[in-house]
Amino acid sequence: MGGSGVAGMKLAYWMYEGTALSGITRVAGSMQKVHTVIHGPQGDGYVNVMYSMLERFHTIPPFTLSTIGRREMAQGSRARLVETVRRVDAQHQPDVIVITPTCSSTLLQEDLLAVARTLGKQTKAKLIVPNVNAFRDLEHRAMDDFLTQIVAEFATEQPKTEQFSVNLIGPSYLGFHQLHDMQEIRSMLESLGVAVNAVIPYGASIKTLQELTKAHLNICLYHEYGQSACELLKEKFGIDYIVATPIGIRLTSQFVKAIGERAGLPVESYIRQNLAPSGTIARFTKSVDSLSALFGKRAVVFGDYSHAVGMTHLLREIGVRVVWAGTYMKTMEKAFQASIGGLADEVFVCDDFQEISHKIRDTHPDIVLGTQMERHSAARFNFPCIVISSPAHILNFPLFPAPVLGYQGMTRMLDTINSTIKLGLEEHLVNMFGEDSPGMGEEDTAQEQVAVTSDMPKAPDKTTAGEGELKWDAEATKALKQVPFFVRGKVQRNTENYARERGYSEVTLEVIYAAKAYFESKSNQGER
Amino acid sequence: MERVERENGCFHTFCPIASVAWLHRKIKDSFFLIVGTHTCAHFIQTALDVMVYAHSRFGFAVLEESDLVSASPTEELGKVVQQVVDEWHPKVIFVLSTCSVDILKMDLEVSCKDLSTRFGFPVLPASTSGIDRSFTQGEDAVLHALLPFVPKEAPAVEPVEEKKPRWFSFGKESEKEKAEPARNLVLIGAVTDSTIQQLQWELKQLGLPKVDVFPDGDIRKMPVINEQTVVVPLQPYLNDTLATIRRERRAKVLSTVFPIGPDGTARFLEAICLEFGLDTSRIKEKEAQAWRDLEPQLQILRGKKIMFLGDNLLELPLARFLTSCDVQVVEAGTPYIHSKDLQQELELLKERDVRIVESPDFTKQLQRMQEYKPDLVVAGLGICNPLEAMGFTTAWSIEFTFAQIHGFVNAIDLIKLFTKPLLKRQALMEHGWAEAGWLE
Repeated sequence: MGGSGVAGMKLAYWMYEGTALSGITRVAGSMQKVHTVIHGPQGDGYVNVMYSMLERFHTIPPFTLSTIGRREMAQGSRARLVETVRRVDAQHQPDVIVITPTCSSTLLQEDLLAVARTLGKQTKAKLIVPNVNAFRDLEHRAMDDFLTQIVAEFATEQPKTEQFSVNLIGPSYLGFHQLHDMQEIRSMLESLGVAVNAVIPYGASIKTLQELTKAHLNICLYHEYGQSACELLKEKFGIDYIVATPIGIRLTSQFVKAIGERAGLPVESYIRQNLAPSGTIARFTKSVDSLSALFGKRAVVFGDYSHAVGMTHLLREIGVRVVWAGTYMKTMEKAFQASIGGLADEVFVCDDFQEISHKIRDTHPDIVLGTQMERHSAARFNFPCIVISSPAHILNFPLFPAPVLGYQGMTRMLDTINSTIKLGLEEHLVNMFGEDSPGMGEEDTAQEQVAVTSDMPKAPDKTTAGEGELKWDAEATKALKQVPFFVRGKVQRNTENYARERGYSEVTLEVIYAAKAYFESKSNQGER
Repeated sequence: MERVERENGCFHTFCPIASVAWLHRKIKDSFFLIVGTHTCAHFIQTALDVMVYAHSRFGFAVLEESDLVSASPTEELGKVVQQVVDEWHPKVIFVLSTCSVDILKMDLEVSCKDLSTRFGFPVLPASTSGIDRSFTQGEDAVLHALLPFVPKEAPAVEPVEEKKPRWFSFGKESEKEKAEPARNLVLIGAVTDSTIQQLQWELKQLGLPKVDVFPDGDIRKMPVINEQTVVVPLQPYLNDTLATIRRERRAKVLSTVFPIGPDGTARFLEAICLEFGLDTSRIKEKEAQAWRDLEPQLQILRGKKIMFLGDNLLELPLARFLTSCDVQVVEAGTPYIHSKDLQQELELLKERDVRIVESPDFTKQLQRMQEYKPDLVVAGLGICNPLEAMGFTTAWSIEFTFAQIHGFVNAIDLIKLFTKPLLKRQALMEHGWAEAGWLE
């Protein structure tokens, strides 16, 4: 995958990076009083699903579709767009309406900018058309470009805050634990005595953008996007910036020192305090159980740039060997090689999930740190896995504070690693005496594998039939096979009990259906 | 009173390519190749997140910029198909087109024809462009693509007994029809094997031992459809497929309601029995029994107000079922209404004075929701959580697409999709949430 330019269509099963559309809506949707009009076909409204499902959004997400349908294809879609923008302006009264292109509007060569120029004179809201190629650009590139565009649009010269203050560039909805990270960085900065002037895009309004220039330093928290906006603020307003994702002890130290240096604040004691022998991180790392559980274990790491780099550092800091580290951010290959050089046996970029999957299978690691995709691959080959990067799913939007960055982030990672990897003594015992008969979980996985690959369920299980064998006729057997494997045993038992109680000598379809009606109507609570 | 309104609005629904989620499980040895952009792929992995089959029999041929200017997509598509063949060895590949293909006017039909010849197995084009189709209509496109594999004539080795079926000779027409070849019944819709088995069982009880279903999971075993065939749709969104069957096969498409809910199932079975001259008297009792089985659930539903925002095109049959449960359906929003294929459902809903809104406007619906104060709102995945936060109780429309809801036996599963959210709300109220205030 990826654009080498000459090659034509590519086979893909999974996208590591989202689209330009998802990137723009991540930035715009994270902000206050900014509404996005998506000019595309009905299905492009799927960004609503991400907000309302993953972020469990409690308000209607600030996106309105300007639908391109057959009528718009025939008569032009301009009228629909104009009508939608006007309606959004009147109904939602936002400060800004972002009119975002989609693959379809790009292919139709709609001139959204021209529409915005004419219409902008009539609307109360300011109209902005993201300067991206919706067909070609991917999520992070679009986020980077769009952030820069709105910062350039709104930032104005302001007097600096009296106290040293920073802007946090990066936190947004749908990022990987980013809102948890934001809290952790805020509390870290508070401990250091550094004020936060603004955060973008999360929670930012137009006023926030205007006042960005009050800060003394910009901190870009993720390498994938945000740096261009920092660069712009440096050029135009002379604000210094750092780009750093503080994961693990070394990168966190560097991060803290970089800020301390610019703020003229002492930070050594803060670092020492967090790494002291009495602190949780040192106690864990030096504990003798982590000698057998972790030291010398073989891990593999795959993710976006920032998390793959950070986790590789962190693993080495607790004594785990990193057999390979990879990222799907193909545009960042050089920097990736440079940041990880020497920490992993092999370092690479790749955005083909099957290739990564095969690599995991062939490496046989003790633990996999990857995206949701690698979680699938690891489950398939039965390796323990921790998700450390987008693409993520609902499990990566935890309710309890779960940062990845800073010392708290590291503590949480250590807990997660500890509860995922096979522990030392347990492993010794398994090696000596062999594995127990598989527990429910593993059996499920194995059976599901079979079910998925062959779609061939097993025949009724004679061993669970109990006293007084009941015959199942052919049709009934067929019906039983259609029941999902994980409840099949239960269905079989219930049906047979039902049949025995009523004196049937054979299970037929009639018996199955009657039994189902009986049991289902008994369970009124709707557990299914 | 004319109760169908058209708002030509923006509502929350899925793209038709989402139908690969169930179709790739239904058609064995198949592969579904979606020709589209990154957005298509990102949508599928996001929307189907909870059930992503990481490595599944569907994938994407992602268009690159060079494809936009290329004269014919055949060569590039051929390379992708080759990769799919090497990895999956499918017996049939469905090439699903998307909005981009539609806009670019790429001719995938010609490419598919060429590739079928080159690879020696069917590579079938299906139009699932989101420009003019909605969510579940992807199934219509795929079934339509399969029609060429539906034989017009039975194979020569048909069992002898089939030639003289006693079960349809009836009344004065018997003399005439005896001379003609046997009529067959074909149910249409990609439902699960177990739903099919249940419907076949019901019809067997009523005297119809042979019931075919299209599509069969096996592309080599599709049923015969010709002018002797009586076709009955199981899903309300198969309009193109039915139109082609009417036109090209001259088959009779029965106009009935859909076998959803005991009422729908009874009328569906009655229509088939009448068509084949069978006794319908037992159906009443079956229906009554089915309703009795639902009684505890019905007690929960009676008198409740339910609103459909419109998403999966099952809204009209579901609304009709609910009215039979003495539910007040305050609005049945639906993306599209095919007035011919939904005629019977529409008539019943009009009799029962249900407000039907085609292609509804979500913003207006939000206002109407405040007026109606529905007890339950059936809505798309993208909008349920915000509605819950606003104090509404919701059910995901997509659950009705993925659950087994046809026939008498599944009626309990169907009705629970409606009662479960209500019971949950009640349970929460009883267990601490009353004091939060907003749940009232």
